[in-house]
Amino acid sequence: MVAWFLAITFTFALIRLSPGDPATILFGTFRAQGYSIEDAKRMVQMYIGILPEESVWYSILKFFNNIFRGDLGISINWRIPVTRLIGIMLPWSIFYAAWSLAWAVIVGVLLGLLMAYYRHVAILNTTLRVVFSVLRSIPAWLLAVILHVYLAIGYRFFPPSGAYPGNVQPGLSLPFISGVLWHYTLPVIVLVLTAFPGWALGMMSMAISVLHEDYVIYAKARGISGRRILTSYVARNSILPIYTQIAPTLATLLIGTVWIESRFVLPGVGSLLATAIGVRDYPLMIGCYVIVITAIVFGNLLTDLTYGFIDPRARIGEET
Amino acid sequence: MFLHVSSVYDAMRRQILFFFKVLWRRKKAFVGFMILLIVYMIPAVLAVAGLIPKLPPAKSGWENIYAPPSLNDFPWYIFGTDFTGRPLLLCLVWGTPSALAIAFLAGLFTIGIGLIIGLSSGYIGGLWDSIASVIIDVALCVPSIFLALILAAVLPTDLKRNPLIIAAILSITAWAWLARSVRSQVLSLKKKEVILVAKAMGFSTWKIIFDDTMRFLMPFIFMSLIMSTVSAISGYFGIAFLGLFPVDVTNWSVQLNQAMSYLGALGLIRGGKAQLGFWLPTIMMILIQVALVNLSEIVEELFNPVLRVRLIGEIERRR
Repeated sequence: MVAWFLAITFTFALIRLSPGDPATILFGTFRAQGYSIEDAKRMVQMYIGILPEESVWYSILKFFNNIFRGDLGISINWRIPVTRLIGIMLPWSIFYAAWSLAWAVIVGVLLGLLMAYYRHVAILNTTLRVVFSVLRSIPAWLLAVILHVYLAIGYRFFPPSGAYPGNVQPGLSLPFISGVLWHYTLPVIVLVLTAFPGWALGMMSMAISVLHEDYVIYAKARGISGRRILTSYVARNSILPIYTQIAPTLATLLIGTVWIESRFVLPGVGSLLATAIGVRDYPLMIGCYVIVITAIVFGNLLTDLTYGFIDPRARIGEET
Repeated sequence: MFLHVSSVYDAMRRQILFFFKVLWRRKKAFVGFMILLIVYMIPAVLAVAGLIPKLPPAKSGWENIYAPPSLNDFPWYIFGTDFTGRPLLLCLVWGTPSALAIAFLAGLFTIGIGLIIGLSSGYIGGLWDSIASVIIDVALCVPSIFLALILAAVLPTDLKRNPLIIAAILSITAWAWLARSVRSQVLSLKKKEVILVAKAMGFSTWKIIFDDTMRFLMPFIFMSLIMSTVSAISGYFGIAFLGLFPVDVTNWSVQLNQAMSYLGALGLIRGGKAQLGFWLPTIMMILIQVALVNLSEIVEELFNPVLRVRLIGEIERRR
């Protein structure tokens, strides 16, 4: 909570104090358009709720006051409240981030387990290492550009834009759901390809250290099958550090999608932020910032609170 | 104390020989180093030294835009031209100095701030430690690329021409995880005998930090330097792709963006007029990251004292 408060204060103050202070810039723009000083000030106040001459601390206090009343200002570009815009877009972003993260984690964890188990097979190891080092070097936005230009626009294997087919009515119907999944296939592939090597490598190093534990060696000596060891001994124990990563990553994915969502013309906070940045829509930019920071802080909190459910040792540690 | 020039020269020579010796042992890192040297560093040095011709003025006209490769004015037109009618190869080469400078500066800023905050809070402790921990927690909440994106949108254009400012924007909260892990490592190192002995012998805090603590952290620091350089490169070109840095033909990301619009708008994928303009900047952006990641594999060996003694012994014997 303190971190949330300070993170927003810091950024707000940084933007207000930097040479690119929105109030000053908007004021300059209106003056250049021929408004009188008084009118220009009133226009700035109307657009972003800040007067050019008011102090930074006063505007921060006002801003927090508004946040607690659920008011993030009004978007300059769309002229509707920022909270309503984000409210429309956020579910799409959460769906996209969660759906692709689920695939990335499942693929990564399974591959990591197998890599740890077959770590003595040299060919498999070197091939995967080379593939992973290349995949990890490609930024997600670059992969999105390449796949979008070639697979979606060039060869039309995948739909190039939109979250669902234009002729389908949104609702809980089979054509709508399958259409959404089909339209999100390529964006999900982009995120999974760039994200799963990280999960796989993390899982592998954890699983290798677990494989050297005494109880695993003992289980092997007892003649338990390799599959059983992997699922109920190794996986259960090495998945804990993975679990602590999931919620924060989900929250950061909400912004990692700025590039991907705007490239594939999907609805979401990412494409909203991309548009806001393009037209310098300050209230919307800060609004997206507040929402994402809130999501990150909330994700961390949720992980801390639920850690006991997934790791019985933490539960016992508390009781004794 | 009088330090003989030749002894300094000798020590440097030994260091460099040692570096190449380690490099030669690991072929993957060697390939990474060679790519970095040939594709990026040498062109950058040549460009800064003025040995490469200046960019010609833009040429308009359908036939000049994304013209096919040709041999006139060798070698600059071997990849054809870009969206402004300038030779593509020359644009790519002129992009190396700023890309390298921004990436390396951002890496240095990240490491510098992370080290200063992490080392001091772990070592000094007390009130400063609690304040620093709060700062680190706050910075950890804010993804660096996200804040960089917003700052890049807000700051005026003339500031964004300065590589120092861009590097500062890119590393604005990236140092946080480094500071946190340095802090926890220092806390555990504090209990090591070496440090306790140094303390008992009356060495000053800063001497202990820089002489004794840093020694243990060196592999980790270099690893983080390479990794934060890599993420700075990806962040820099990502933000430039959205058009938030000054539009400049020598920026690979701008080149990619233009080629992408050209390919997308005209649907000429199969005709392939802007294919080179699309793929060469892409390869330039990816290759530098692959090279750096591969190079990071030798960091562990570079600072491993056992290996170091053995290899330096080998170098000495051969002389």
